[in-house]
Amino acid sequence: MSQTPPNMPRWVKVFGIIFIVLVLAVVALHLTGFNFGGHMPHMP
Amino acid sequence: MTPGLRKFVRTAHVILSVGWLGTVAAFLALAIAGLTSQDTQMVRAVYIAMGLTARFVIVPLSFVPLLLTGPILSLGTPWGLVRHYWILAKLLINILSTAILLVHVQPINYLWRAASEGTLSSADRGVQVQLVVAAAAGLLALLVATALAVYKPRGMTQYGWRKQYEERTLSQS
Repeated sequence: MSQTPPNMPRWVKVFGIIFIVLVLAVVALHLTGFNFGGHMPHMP
Repeated sequence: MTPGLRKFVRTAHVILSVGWLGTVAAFLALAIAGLTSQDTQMVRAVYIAMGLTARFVIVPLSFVPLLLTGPILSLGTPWGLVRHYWILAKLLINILSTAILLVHVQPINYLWRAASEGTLSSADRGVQVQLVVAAAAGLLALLVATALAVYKPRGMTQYGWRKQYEERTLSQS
């Protein structure tokens, strides 16, 4: 076994980028007014 | 962990995780039916069914694999919780899916109540669309998590590699 840690696999980098983009998209959608209160006119 | 207990926890984990995926698929079908159907009685029935499914099946099913069977299986076996990237990825997917689910409990309850009281109207279309999008996103995330669990793509985190190195060094000395 070599004494240097292995590089991060490509699939992890792709997954990480997609995950961060999705989280930012969800947060951005909710911060820009695409929230639940605005769509629930009957809410007290 | 004994082999018998490990097998029991693994069985429970698979049943709960795949059950969660199946229920979200049914939830998506109901959400699409509620959005597209012209039959008022059918739409009311759909949102009542969605409310019941979310409260008594989807929310409980999302917590047990995330907080109980998943960590027990990971920490009670050599796989560990943060030693392999695929386990870490599954954990992140489950945390995000559960968070999105909890954020949508309020609109689910709102439509459930509106359907029960017969006050659903065209002004609720935004919430109906939102539930379709959230259910589709959740289903996709759970499909990816299931595929990761089956394929177990290679890749060890730095922490996992260090632990493995220490264990091998210890066993050789």
